[in-house]
Amino acid sequence: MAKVVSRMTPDLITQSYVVEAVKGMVVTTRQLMRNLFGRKDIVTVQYPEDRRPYPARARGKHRLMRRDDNQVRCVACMLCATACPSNCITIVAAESADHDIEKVPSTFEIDLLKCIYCGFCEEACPCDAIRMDSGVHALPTVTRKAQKTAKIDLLSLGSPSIASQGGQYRAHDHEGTQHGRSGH
Amino acid sequence: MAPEAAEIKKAKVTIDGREIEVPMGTTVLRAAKQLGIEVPVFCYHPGLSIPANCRMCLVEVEKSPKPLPACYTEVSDGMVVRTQTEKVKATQQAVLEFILLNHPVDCPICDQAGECVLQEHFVRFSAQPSRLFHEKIGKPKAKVLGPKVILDAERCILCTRCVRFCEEVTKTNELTVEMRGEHSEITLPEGKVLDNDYSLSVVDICPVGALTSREFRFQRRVWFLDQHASVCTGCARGCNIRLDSHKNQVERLVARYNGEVNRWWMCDAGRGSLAQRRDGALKMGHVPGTDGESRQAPAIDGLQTTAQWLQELKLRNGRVGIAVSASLTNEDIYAFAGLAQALGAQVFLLPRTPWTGDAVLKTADRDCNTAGAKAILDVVSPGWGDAKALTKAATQLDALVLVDSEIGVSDDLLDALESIDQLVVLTDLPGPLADAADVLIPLTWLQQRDGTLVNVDGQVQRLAAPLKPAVTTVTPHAAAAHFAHYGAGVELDLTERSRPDAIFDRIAAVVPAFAHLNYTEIGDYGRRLTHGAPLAESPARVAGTPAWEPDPVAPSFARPFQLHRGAQ
Repeated sequence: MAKVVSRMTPDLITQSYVVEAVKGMVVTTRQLMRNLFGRKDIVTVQYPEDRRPYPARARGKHRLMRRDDNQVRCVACMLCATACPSNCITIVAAESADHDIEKVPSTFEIDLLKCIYCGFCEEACPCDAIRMDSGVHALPTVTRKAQKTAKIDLLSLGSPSIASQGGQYRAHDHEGTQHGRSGH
Repeated sequence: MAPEAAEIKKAKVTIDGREIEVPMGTTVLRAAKQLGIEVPVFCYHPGLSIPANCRMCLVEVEKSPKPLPACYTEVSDGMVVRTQTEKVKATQQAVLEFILLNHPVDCPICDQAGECVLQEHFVRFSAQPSRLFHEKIGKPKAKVLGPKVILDAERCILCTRCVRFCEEVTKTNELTVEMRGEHSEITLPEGKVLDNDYSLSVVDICPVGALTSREFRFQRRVWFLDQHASVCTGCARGCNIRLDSHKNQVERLVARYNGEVNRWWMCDAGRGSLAQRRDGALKMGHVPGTDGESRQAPAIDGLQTTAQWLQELKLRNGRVGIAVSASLTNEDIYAFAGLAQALGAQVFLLPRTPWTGDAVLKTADRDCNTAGAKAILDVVSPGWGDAKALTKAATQLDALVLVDSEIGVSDDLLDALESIDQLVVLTDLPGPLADAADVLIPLTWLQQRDGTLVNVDGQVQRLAAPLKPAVTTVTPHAAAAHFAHYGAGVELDLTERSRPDAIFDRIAAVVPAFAHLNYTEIGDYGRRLTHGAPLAESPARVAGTPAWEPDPVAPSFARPFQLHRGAQ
């Protein structure tokens, strides 16, 4: 059902627009003066000189954590690749040269164009090897290939983790004994 | 049932309140299985002797003071068995805790994770955290047992399936258990190496990740694999396989139970039979170019050139020969035999170079369809020749169409082929024949097409196309139909040109040995070629192997993946 709306008929003074234009200028000038002298809570941020801090739990670019001896923590179990809903993680596993470690990733590649930053990979990781807490943005690139982030780039953001490699039960292992492996 | 079956005494057993009558001598485990009751096992394998050492299958039997192992205890009349009582459950939990005591629980890096019997049983029957506060006992990790198999002794649960396999099936006795108690471990006796022809079968039957294949190790987590039922094409035995692929790439071949053919086993050579194709199958062929040099070309170009040649030869009454290998499907053989009839050409059947067979499964004949090819050619192209006949006849031939999977070529034959003006080779592998060809047409692999093979005992089995072919390749029977239509100007007697099931129906109508068979009824386990004929005495077959016996390696009640049943 149509609703009849009567058209507003402005009086002559309003129709001349002089008064209305001045009223508008007053609002603009008042805002300008406030911004120039005094007020600090300006909404606009002068990006990229100024940046707003990210929330503490924001997910940034992935990073691969390191062991105490700076080797990669990842054991190539592929649980992150299994959990990944966008299939952006490609891992090739290999035998480790280190006697105490059985399996390492020979390549670890994340296609940031495919990644949806859901964080399932870091949830799935049993080794605290992959994290998304770097706070670094994925920057635009000219080619698609440049978005495939290799192991070396992921490691460059990494740092040692305080988690015990191999889970809590390995915490009982005594260092230096024959069976005190930290490989898993 | 055989008449002597009536004399076998029967026993009435009650399992979980349900009664069943089974022959005396049946174990409780098998009787329970017939009722659909699953009793968990680790060490029991239907193809091996029963040591009853894992104690996982303990069940309560009335009037017995202690639980008894279901895998070893034979039924007696009036026996009452309970598999679901609190006592049984507590026993299972205790057994699992004991087995897991020194287990490293390194599932994330263990190749078996996802198809591990210990994982399945733990989740189903125990699911309790470890109470061990000592250090676990360390044992050798990644110990190389042989060229194909690697052992992680910490993961081993000492079920001794592998030891029994080497004792009873291959009779090579490579493995043994060393030390006692918790220090026991599977090891090689002094001077032995696990290098028998069936060594990868121990990887199949290992319920945990202790024995792994060196080739497949770390290659792919098993839950990424697509599983397809198919047939091994490495020799005339035609072992039933499960082909595991990932993104259309073949990853591994695993033996699939078939009581008529290979039981639970498969040879190492068969498992590696697709490696050559995976690494270097032909995707492009070649045809003569306008400048006299040959140029790279997909199958369709080769088909057109060949069809043109056949047309010209027909006009000037040229002599054409058709040579097929015995490693083609029945449908391919039948289509090319039909083409030969249409062209008035002689057919030659060329075998692969034989190897040495053995008493377990391997046959000396390496062609996967010799029996089927001969049965069809005897009816459709009587008077077909062999490799010697081709060598003799080659000089008189103007053109030869050679359809090959892996023909063993002698130097004599290659010399003879050189005298042929127009040599058309259809193959899926590079080699001397592909180099000698004037026109080379890339073929699909056997595992990339649907079709039937007949094994050495006359079992007709389906390949079921587990893999997808490359777009530049062609299926042999489709090529034959193309040649007949465009080269000879006749339609082959095939209702639809590239449908193997339609061709199979024609074979069933024409060849008496196939008369009782139906393509869809062949199923996953195959059918015998000659109706009502007694089963051949193959070493693979053991009398009385029950038909219900499934693959015990993966527990059937918790099969994690769906097996693809082929293109139906």
